[in-house]
Amino acid sequence: MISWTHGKATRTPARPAAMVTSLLLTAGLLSVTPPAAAAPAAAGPWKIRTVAGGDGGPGPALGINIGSPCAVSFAGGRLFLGNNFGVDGVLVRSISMRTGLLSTPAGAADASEAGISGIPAHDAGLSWVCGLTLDHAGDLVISDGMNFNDGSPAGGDNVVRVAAARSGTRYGRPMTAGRICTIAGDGAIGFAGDGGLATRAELSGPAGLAVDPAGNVIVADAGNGRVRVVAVRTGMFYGRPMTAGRIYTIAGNGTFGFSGDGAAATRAALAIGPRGDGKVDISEPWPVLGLDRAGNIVLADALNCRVRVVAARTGRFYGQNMRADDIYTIAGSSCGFSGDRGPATRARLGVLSGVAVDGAGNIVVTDSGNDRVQVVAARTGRFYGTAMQAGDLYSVAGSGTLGTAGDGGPASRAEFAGLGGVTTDSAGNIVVADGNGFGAQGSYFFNVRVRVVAGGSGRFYGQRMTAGHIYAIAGTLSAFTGAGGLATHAQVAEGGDSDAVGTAGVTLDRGGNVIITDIDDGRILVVPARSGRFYGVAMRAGHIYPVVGGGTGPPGGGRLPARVRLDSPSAVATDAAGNLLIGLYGGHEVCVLTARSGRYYGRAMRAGRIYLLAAVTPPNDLAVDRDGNILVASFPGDLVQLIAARSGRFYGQSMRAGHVYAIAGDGGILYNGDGELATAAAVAPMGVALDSAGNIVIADTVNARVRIVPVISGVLYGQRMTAGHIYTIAGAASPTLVTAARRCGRASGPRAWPWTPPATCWSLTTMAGSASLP
Amino acid sequence: MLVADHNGRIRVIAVRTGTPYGQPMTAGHIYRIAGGGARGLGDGGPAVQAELVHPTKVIVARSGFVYVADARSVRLISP
Repeated sequence: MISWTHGKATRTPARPAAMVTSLLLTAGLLSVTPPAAAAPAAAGPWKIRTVAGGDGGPGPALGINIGSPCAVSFAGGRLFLGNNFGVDGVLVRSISMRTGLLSTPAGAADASEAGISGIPAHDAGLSWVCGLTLDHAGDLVISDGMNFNDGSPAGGDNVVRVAAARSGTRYGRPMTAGRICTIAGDGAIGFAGDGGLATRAELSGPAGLAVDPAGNVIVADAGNGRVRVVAVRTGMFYGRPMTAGRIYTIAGNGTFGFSGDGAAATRAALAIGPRGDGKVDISEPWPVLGLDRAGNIVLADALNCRVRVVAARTGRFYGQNMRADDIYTIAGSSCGFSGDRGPATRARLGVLSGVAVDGAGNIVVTDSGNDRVQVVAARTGRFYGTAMQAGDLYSVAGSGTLGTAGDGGPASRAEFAGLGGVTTDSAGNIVVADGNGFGAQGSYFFNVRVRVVAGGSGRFYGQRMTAGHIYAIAGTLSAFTGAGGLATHAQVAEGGDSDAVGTAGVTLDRGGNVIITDIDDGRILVVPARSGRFYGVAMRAGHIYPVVGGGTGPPGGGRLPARVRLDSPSAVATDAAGNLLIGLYGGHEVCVLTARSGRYYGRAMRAGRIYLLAAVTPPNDLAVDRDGNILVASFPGDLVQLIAARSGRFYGQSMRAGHVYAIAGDGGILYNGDGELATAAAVAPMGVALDSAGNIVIADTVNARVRIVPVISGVLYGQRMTAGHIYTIAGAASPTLVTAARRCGRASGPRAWPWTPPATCWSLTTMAGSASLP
Repeated sequence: MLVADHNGRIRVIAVRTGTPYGQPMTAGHIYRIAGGGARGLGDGGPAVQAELVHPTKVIVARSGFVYVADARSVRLISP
């Protein structure tokens, strides 16, 4: 047997002789010893299910992360809102006005089957929801707009979809109850298709939605600067014959600007959407619209800072004589702020992000430019605690200061941080989306809440409210929610979508409890296999509990686990003593939560405390070898490092307890060959594991290979290997294995991290983590 | 040996010929046991037809069941 370093009789990790024999005898085959507990050879395919983490809820809306709610709408006793850019991606949320409990009727986190009709609504991928309503059949109508990458539109569904309440044919489309069906848009971005089938028409970021008294769906087509209608049935609407399922423009000429008051709405220039160039930026407002009781379309002409009305019929509305299908301004004169009293048509408003009509017929707008909620009184009377005169404008919420304060107090003193959509509920409350990232001062705020301005005193959304006061009813900044509840109802944010940032970790402790890294929120979470007391916390089986993190202290010094702040925990493992090892991707550290008092890694430690073990390059994965040493996979960092459990000779190196040693990688990442010393090879280790013989297995991500550093020389995995050298056992270099690895440029030597690989590397089949069978 | 790849799959490098994970496998070959589906997360259904979002870590329990850290959830693959 050849040991780790050539020819020298050095120590190799202890292992049963029988195991070594079996390794050496299995020449020509993959040579990992059969696992002690092989996977059960059950007939039929294995199934998958989620054991922790979900969309959040069902549960109290106030404790659930709802992302940036853009649209809010009230129908059928429930509030509906679009959950964009949250920890769960894009979802439709629904909140009971009575209980404040939230459910998720449509959308699936990160589901990719965009635009497909006929699948269950709760499995549907959505890309951006800024318009929601219920139609006359009770279907949930969803503006499934475009998604964004760093503020730029990056495709997306760009359609209007319906989650059918019951089976039947509507909008000329057959529908099945509970399933999703596209009713407008072919997905392509543009303006086309008027007069034809709505599903063949081009849209440009559908946003605000309403259903008119006849049941037609009206949609604000953002990038096209138009309001379009999808006819629910064949008939005469908006002064012209329409056919079921076809699409028509009823306002806007496609020009970005302001013109046309007093004439046909279809000839008017609007500024309902950003720029009018077809490009929609997240920092700009989305068009929204509402309908009054006469069926007039009330439009937030957002960037014109005006509220405009398309008259449903000829008559006198809002103090003006109007002609059917013509357009009129009913509030706003130019952008700005002119106080909160006086005739609405002479008032200056800011950029509008929402408009609604309340039960008394008053127009409610979210004036994101002035951080206020303003009301145009429909008639003279007392509304929202203020005596109002017909046609005048009043500020009912917001002090005009950008901020987050005010919940529980008078609405007039509240601060907003980027107002979004608005709706009114059946109890006369105003409901606004706050902090959706549309801050008028050019800033992004993460004041992600839905807030209610109580119209009367009473119990709404599960809270006792006083008339004229403001209350948060949904949302939290926390990425982790649902502590102590069922694990599948919790939101567990485990890192972003970018491959360049830390990965998420999961492990099982010796009791079979699932340990999870919550990288965004800086916690270690436990889902116990059975009820009991673990890590100092009383737990119920299948529920989820934070056990480390949430404090402010550095992760060391024998602090209590709840007192420390974890900077992007990305990896967890348990050692033989039952201690929990935690890799901090952001902190570039490995720390430990001790199970019992004792001497570990060269230091005396107390039970139930946090100690810093070592500074390392950003850890992605941890493994513990048979000698108790901790292996740390680091990418970037491009090393497998070792934290020695005790002083001794391991992997051919003399090591001191608690010190850090490189055992694979030279600091470069691009594959530079196999068969050489592991410490001279370039690797990008996203994962590290030990096979059943104690050989080190590395998920070499950029090189899309599984590589091995054997601890003994011999024939392993069908190859002759030398201890301490590195070999590919899966990936491009191994012809017996199926892979899709490709080379990625030339080696460029050592580099600093953080680092973003060139785009050409990004299409590689990369490997995120590996594990050997136990 | 199990590998989570960035194409949203959990793959097994078979160490011996047999029928682990409900599939016939030949030693030295690689097989997909979960992910790669494109019709939703597929909770409760066959693992090979399910969609994984961004699997970053895979572990094997003593029972032989497989746990996967998949973006915003932990998922269990079992018979």
